[in-house]
Amino acid sequence: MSAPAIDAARDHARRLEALARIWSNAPGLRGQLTAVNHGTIALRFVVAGLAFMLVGGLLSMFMRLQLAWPDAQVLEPERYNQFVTMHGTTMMFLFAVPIMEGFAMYLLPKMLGARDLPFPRMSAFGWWCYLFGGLFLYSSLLFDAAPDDGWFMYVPLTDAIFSPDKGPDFWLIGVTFAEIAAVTAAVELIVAILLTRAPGMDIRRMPLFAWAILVMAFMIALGFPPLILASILLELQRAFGFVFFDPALGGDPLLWQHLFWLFGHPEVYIIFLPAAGVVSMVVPTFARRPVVGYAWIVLALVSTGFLSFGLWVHHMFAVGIPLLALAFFSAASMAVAIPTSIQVFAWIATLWAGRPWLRLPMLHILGFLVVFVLGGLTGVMLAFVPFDWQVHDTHFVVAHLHYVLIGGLMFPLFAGLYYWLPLVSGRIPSESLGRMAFWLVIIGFHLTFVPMHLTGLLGMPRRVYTYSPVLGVEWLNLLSTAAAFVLAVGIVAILVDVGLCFVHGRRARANPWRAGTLEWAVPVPVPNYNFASAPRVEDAYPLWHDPGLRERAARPDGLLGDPARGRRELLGTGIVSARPEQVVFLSGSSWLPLACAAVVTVLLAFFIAGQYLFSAACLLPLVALFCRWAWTTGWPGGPASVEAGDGLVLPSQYASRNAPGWWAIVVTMLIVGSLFASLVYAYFYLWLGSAEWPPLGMGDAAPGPLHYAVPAILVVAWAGGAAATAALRARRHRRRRVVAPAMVAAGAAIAFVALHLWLLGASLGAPQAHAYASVVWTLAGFCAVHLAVAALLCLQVAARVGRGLVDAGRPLEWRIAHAFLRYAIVQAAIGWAVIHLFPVLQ
Amino acid sequence: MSPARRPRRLVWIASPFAIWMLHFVLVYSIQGLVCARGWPLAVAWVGMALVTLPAFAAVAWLGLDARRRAASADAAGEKRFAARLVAMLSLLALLAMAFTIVPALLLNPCE
Repeated sequence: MSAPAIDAARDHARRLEALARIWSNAPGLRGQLTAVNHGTIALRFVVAGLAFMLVGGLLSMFMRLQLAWPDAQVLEPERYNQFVTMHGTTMMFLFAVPIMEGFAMYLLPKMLGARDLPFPRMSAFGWWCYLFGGLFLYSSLLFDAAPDDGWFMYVPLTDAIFSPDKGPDFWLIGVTFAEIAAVTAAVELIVAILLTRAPGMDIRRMPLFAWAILVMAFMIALGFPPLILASILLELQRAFGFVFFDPALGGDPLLWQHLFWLFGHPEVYIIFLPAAGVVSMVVPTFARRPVVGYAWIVLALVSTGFLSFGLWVHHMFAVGIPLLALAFFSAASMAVAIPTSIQVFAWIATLWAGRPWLRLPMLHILGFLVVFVLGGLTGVMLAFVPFDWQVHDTHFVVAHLHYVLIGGLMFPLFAGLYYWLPLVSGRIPSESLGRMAFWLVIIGFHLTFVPMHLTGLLGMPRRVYTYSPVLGVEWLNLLSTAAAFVLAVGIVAILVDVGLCFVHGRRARANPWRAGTLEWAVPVPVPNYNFASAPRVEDAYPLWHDPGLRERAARPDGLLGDPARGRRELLGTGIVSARPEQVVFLSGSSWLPLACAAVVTVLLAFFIAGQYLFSAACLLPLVALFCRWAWTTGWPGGPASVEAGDGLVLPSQYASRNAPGWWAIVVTMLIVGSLFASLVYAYFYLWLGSAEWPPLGMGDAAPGPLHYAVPAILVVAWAGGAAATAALRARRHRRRRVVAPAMVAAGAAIAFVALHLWLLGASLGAPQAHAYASVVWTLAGFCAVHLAVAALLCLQVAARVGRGLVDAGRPLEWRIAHAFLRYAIVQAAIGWAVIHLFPVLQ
Repeated sequence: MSPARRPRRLVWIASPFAIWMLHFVLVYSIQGLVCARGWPLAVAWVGMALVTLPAFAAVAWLGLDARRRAASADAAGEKRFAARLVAMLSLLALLAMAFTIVPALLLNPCE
């Protein structure tokens, strides 16, 4: 080897060592508690998700034992209700959604050719919230207060009269807490997919898993807020006596059902689409050819994402809604079968046109195709209103939903688990134990759930601890119970097999399945930074056409290969074109995510204990921690532009137009907007069912001049924000000219909040008096909270401008604060118009 | 400082079904309002027609325009892909809107 070659090799070794040091977690327990790296966090999601699956599955085994015979006495009726509730809640909120997010968080950066997700501390915060939220929910068992009202928490069963215990509170608070993880993951994943793809990976070349996760994340952003809002409303009713769902005081119990299912149906597709994404990755590899109909699958994903929001009333066909309204939802329920079938046909066509290789992951894909298609067919049957009326609330629906969810999630999940196992473990799973487990699962599954179609058709009700012997379904139930144990043994065998693979599996060579996508270009064992240099791609299956890519990406001499700055760096690319646009400096390991989640836990524990003052007091440390978080994000005071390697000079995120932070605030506004829209929907829903609005003697039917003057304060806040932006844009800006109007904007926002709430207090009275007062107070409070957050953001950024950390060359943070300020002002203006103008104009 | 570049092409891809969604919400709201408030049924028919016709026209235009763009020779690869996608999505959105509106032709709004 020549001397220059030796020098280059030494330089590479030094760079790789530096990269490993920069991206490593701290040692020991401290390192585990402060870790923010996507690989570490994502694997925790997967492991915890599987653990919750086992617990949820255990509950269902007890339920099956209870139903094995009509007079079985395994569980008391109350305990059975608790188990039904916790089984559904666990599987939906603590297993299905988080585990797919875990898959996405682990795989996406690797598939996209990135080093990490764009907001590592947020990933870690989401993880702690998920863990603490799940444990919070399960802690109800310690207090003998496990929720027992079903995973759908229908009112009035869950209001303070019919459920005076703390069960529903544990559910509402625990689930909402765990949902923080889903929402933060949605922001994270959308921004990662839009902005951190490898150079050259334009929208034609994105892995289909990324498309599926993109659609899923947008669905979470729009679909979770209705449930979060509904949970807040019900908790306000239970804790403080607000009335949203009590008809005696102008409320409506159906409002809960609408909000719940407005989340609940998209939830099914939030679970299914990532699984479909897994299938679209596994099938081409084992068919040994590119997927057939790439554009058709993208079409199916996008259209399913939208159509799934038009199905929610099909869970409410039996509540007495006019037929035409039912027909709209029935039609959408049938229409959604079209894009789903397009995907199924595309997968079959890929297998047909390829040379299928029947290894373990592929076996689970075949299981998926059979089970999911059967579930889809009973879904189309249930979309017919008259048929639904016949089998509503029977075990036919239980059979259908398990065919869809186990078919649509579990089989692809196991396929994915086996498929990516060599990447995580560096070892190949055993075919023998794995195949036996697969057959146990598929036989056990069918024998468990096929009989339920029959018991349902014969009239056996669901969610009930027993059934009448007159129905003649004893033997079918006994068969279901026996087979459920076969299914359970199969699932445990799969997990044991996967666990054993880490210890006894045969060492895998690189890319053992000969896949074409970028995650297989990562070295094994996987370094925390994934790629030493950002890879460049030129088609959808780069490893099939560019054999040298793997080696180039592992060499630290390409884009971002030189870690001279000692920072965690990520390459940002164009949203559609994927051309290099910016260098993103990421935050490293930190205690902040754990500390924030711990304070939230204490806050919620005080709340559920009825110690509202202590609970409110927790807001102070929480806000302080979040301010600290915002102050220390990324590289405070980092440069405006940097050398990115390959002779490329790029702006840092602080100077980039498409900075991750900017897109995060855009997605956040989408989420908050969905929350606000749900609240406005609740207002108009209650109005629609009311005889008089506002009720006699309540509210200000003819608002005074002061009411109309209040919005003028919002104009001042708007002008302050605009002035600060103009001053920042000026070529030679002075800090004072930015700071002063930003503070004026913050002050005006707070002034609006104070004056508006004071005026409402004077004219409206207590929120407990009527649904009108409850919803108006909630609307005003919602707008007030957002204005307060916007004011806080303005003050924080003003302080940073004062310190010289934000300026004309690095305006990102002010752009974020200003965007949220404008959003909060527009939201407050709409809220004001709904509260004060609508009653006059109606 | 310049404003962020909007991801026009992603919005374009979302637009056919965004119109489907808007149409769905409006038609459902009109039906709900007319029935809950006891307004004349004619309001429901006229309202639904006024919402449906422009929605069909808009999606059809989007689809035809996208088809033309996809066929044009000078379109770059990713642009052509997006155009093809929008054309296909428009077709499916038209089908879904037809699915939604057919029951309105067959059923009384408030029965």
